[in-house]
Amino acid sequence: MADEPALVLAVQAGNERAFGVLAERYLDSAFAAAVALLRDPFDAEDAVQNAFIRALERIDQLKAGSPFGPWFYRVLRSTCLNLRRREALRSHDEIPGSASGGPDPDRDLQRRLTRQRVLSALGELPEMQRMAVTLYDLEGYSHQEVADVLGIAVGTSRAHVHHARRSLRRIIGPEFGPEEAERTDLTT
Amino acid sequence: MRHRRDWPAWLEALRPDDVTRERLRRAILNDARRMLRARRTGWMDVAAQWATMLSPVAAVVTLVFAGLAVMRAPAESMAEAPPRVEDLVGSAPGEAIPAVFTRDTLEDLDLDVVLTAIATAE
Repeated sequence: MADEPALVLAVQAGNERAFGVLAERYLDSAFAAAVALLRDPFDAEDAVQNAFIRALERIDQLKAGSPFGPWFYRVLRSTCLNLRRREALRSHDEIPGSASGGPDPDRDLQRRLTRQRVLSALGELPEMQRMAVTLYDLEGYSHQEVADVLGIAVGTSRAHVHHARRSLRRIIGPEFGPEEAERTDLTT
Repeated sequence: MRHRRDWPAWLEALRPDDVTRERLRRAILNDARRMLRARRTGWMDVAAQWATMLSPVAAVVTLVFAGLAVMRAPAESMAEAPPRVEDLVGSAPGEAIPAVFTRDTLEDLDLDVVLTAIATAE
């Protein structure tokens, strides 16, 4: 796996392939985070595409040696919030399924149903809790990193993740994972 | 950062399916390619615009220097030393040397001496 700061430097120098590597690396998690935030796979797709392009436009603002991930999630979150503001009048009562079909209809159906349940559960959480628990579970970020991305205190991040996990476990049920799933890095 | 298989089960449901992933990947890379090329083309355009703007100035400067060079050329030829008597004699070896030229032309000639020499020659 290529060194991330080196990839960022290469992108800053205009290297297209380096940007491709970064995009590949963050595409899945960015999509999942955007879906969690927007609860709409179509909007999430737009948001992820726009976030990557905004990140590329502003890549010179990223200091040498800084990690790409937390900075990129800040761009993604801001893109999602802008998108949601623009589409504020659009109803989210009906949550669409997958953005496209796949080769296995049964698996796709199962996936859509599970996604719908998870998105419904996420929909009951405040935006900050949703984003905090997604970053914490998705990227394995520490509370410090989650706090940096969301611009909140470390203790607040810890509280958001704790409450979000408790709510999700209650709504989703055993599929959410065992009680002890929360990592033990509560000091970070 | 977590790897693909490390995601918790509840988040797996949010992962893009293969078709969505491929469509998104292509869209992002196409946008990025367009943007990076536009950025490169932008630099070339700026350089070309500067070259276009500066070319008349360069032409004027060249003309000015060429004019100065032409103006300096006659002045330098006038500053050359006057022909020496020996050279003139050498160019017409059969002719007698007029008395007026037997003197060193580098010396200042007194008007009386010149008039006397002319009268003697006649």
